[in-house]
Amino acid sequence: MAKTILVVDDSASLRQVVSIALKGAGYDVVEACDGKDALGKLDGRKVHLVISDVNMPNMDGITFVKEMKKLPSYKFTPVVMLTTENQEAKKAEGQAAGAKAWMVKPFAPAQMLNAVSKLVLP
Amino acid sequence: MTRLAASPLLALGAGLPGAVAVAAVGAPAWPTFVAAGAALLVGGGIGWAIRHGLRQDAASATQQLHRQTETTQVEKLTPYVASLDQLAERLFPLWSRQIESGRSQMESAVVGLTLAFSAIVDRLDVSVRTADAASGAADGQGGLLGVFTRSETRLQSLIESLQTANRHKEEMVSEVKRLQQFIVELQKMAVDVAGIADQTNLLALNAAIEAARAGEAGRGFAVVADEVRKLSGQSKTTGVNMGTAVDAISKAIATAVASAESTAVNDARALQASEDAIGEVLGGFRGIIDGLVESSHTLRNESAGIKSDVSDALVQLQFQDRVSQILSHVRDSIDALPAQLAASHADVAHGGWPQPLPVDRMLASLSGSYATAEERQIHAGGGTAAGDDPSEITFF
Repeated sequence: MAKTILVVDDSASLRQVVSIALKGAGYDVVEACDGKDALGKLDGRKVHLVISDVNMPNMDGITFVKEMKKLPSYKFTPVVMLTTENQEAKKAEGQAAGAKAWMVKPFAPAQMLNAVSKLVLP
Repeated sequence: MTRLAASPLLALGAGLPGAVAVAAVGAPAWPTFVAAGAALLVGGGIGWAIRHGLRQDAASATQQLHRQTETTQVEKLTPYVASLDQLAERLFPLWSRQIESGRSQMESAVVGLTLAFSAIVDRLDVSVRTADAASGAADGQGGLLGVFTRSETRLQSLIESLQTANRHKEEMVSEVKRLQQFIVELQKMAVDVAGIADQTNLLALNAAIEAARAGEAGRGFAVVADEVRKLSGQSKTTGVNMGTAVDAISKAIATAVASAESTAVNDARALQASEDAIGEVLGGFRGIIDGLVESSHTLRNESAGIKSDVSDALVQLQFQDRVSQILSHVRDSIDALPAQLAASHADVAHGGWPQPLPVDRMLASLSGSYATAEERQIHAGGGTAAGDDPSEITFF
């Protein structure tokens, strides 16, 4: 059975690029346009990994990860932050929120898939 | 101020010549000095009086001038402030909407491009799978290659069966040919039987003669001799019949052998022709299938190359996200300008003066919105910079 990955980004084109790469590798993809939308998508379904942008309207990625980690079903779901931000302070915020990896855009799909394969839940 | 300061000096200047004149005309005595001093005091008093009066006038004039200047300045500033309001109401929102329009169009276009690239990759996959399935290039079991391989095997087996059948026919003809040797022997045996019958007949005749000479004693022997002579006659007939039958068999065998040899030659020719035809057809198919398989391999290789190119293109298309963020930050900064401008000259309408814009705070707000390294680099005075290299990954 295909594993499900939640992709959170306010850029529709970025969601497309990420989704295409993931679907091409055999994953199921659920898309959300910001942190608030993403929390709504965490409706009890099994999510094996989350890939989230940082700077988004309504709810930013760091806040979303903090809120997600409060949900018992998703407490241990690994998160990859995918963002244009490369400042160490921001990375530290992401790590403190519970992210497992920080990937700077633009990304190469092959390398993203490599990171996903290392982190995705069995 | 120059006029005000100069007035007492002029008054003092007017008293001073009087004093000097008194001193010069009069003798150098007390009265002369008193007169000169009085003249000086009168001059100074007049100067003080003039100065005091002028100061009041000047203050009033200054206030009036100040009011006039302020009025003039306000009158001059009003259109300028109004133009700033116009900027805030008309130009800045226009900038913002144009930027947002461009950003939105670019996002839509890039989404379309991304979907188009994805569709190209999907179609390539379908084409490669279809070509592989049709040619059997992927596993060599299915498709045309599989059909060809199975057909080739079955046709080869059929030809081998025909070759085996031909060999069996040749063996049969050889066996039949060997029968002809026995025919010769049989013919000789028939001749021998006829010869023996003749000799037996001769012996029987001699026996009959001897039996006649013996008279009554030889009567029984004469009967035997006669029977022997009859048997020899029958033997001769049998020998002749045997020869006739053997000749007939010999002719039949010769005819059968000739027919079998002719059939074998025709069969061999037909077999060779079949082999040639099958080989030619299979060769033709082999050429076509090899071409298809080669074409399929080429398609697969090209597909892999195109996929790689599309993957690179998808990386490059991510510029839109960075550009979109940069434009959004500039747009938000522009959107904040009208409120800042309105606040800066809010008091002008009530006779106040415009306040300086909080440029540092505005710059700090813009800086705080940055999400890319190049934005910070440009903000710090650096040149325009390209984005980061792809896929900088940090694992925590």
